[in-house]
Amino acid sequence: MRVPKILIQAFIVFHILAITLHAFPGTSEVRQKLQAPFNGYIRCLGLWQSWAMFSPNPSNSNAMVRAEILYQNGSVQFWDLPRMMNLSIRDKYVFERYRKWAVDNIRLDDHEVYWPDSASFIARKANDDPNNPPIKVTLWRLWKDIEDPEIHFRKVGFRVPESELHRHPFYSTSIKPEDLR
Amino acid sequence: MNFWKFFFEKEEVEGVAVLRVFIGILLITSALLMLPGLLDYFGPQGMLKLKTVIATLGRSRLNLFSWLGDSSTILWMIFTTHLLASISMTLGFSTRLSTLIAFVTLTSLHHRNLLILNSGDTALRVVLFLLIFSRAGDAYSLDRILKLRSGKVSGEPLPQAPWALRLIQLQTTFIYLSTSIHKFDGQAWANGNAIYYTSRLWDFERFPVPYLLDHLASIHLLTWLSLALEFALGTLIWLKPLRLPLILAGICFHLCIEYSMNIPLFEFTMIALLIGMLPSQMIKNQMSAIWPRK
Repeated sequence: MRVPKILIQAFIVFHILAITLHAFPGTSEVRQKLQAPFNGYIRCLGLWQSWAMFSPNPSNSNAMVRAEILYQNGSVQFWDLPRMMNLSIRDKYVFERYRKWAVDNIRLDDHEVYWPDSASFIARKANDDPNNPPIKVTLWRLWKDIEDPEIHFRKVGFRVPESELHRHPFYSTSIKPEDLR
Repeated sequence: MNFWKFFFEKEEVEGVAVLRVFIGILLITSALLMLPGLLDYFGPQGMLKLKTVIATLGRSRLNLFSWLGDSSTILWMIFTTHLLASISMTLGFSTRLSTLIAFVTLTSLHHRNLLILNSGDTALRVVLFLLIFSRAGDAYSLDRILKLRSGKVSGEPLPQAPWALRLIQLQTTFIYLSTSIHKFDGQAWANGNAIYYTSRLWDFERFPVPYLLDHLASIHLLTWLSLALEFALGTLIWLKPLRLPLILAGICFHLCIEYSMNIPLFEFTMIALLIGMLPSQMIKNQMSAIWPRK
């Protein structure tokens, strides 16, 4: 089946306009108005994109997420959501998505809508004894700022002791039996 | 240059066919890497409930889970279909249909859980969409071999209008241009310290790079060279005399990042897209040594 050239030309113009308006930085009101006719096309087909990699500035802190799990018998377990630096080269490829989920997403305040699902997921993962289920999950963010190189240059691979990490609980929830199913 | 000539002047199809194979291999690799955590990422007892996805993104997104339901069986069905379609696309069997199925299933998986996606996933998805419209199955494919055997075609693949490949190439340059514009706003990129910070993020560490990353002068130089190269790959790459040197520099750049940082598949995806920027005639000439002409 041959598609008329004029239709292909129309598609080319439409697609270039849509991608140009969505792929480049900027959130002005004019830009949003121009984007509007293309939003359905971009969102529905999964053509949304952002290329803000390590920009406008790379993160200036090392962050992690830790889950504190309280069990029915009063015992407490801490889970570090995957820490890439503790994994082998192969496992870094395989488990990077867990880091993306924890460190780049649920750690952030503007992702709070995802915290209840994350807490119940962790509770299900930690529910390995039917007689002693998790009853509460608290999520902690831990971080250490990377020192300004102009003030205090640190060599690659420098680590700080766990006691020097800043920590802050950012979500806590009681776990109901239905959360564990 | 005439705007429409850029999209419609016929050229060899070998360039887009090679790109199809690279993208296909990356899709298969990405799917296999997802396998150990598949139920955690996308399952009904996984890290994100479908009802939360629908509440935040709405129902208007291409997502087979919204229509077929949210069960482990449906997940395995979509994932297996995706893997088989990716293999079929790579081999060039029913290429256009395979690419379409690979795109629909990939986008559904991505829309099921956006929280685990990285830039490599985004690049694969947007390029796969454009690959559907290309003539990627006209060379180096089972489709081609079957047509030759049945006598439907003979001789070498015919040149075709490369408009879909041109859109892929534009998308590739948009990625570089967009990321460099984002970085122009950053103080750390302007003062040359950006690579100091990226190389001290524990989660991204891979192999050590002593000396170069342990001195501020070399860190500043690497930061500014990276930014200049990304900007050139987004703009100057369209100038014919600069294209090949920039593609080679870009491939070296991505291999260096792959060596030093843990950013799964993004670097390989960008290398594949840079290969897609090579003139199709050049790819055809290079491939003729390993693939029969007819």
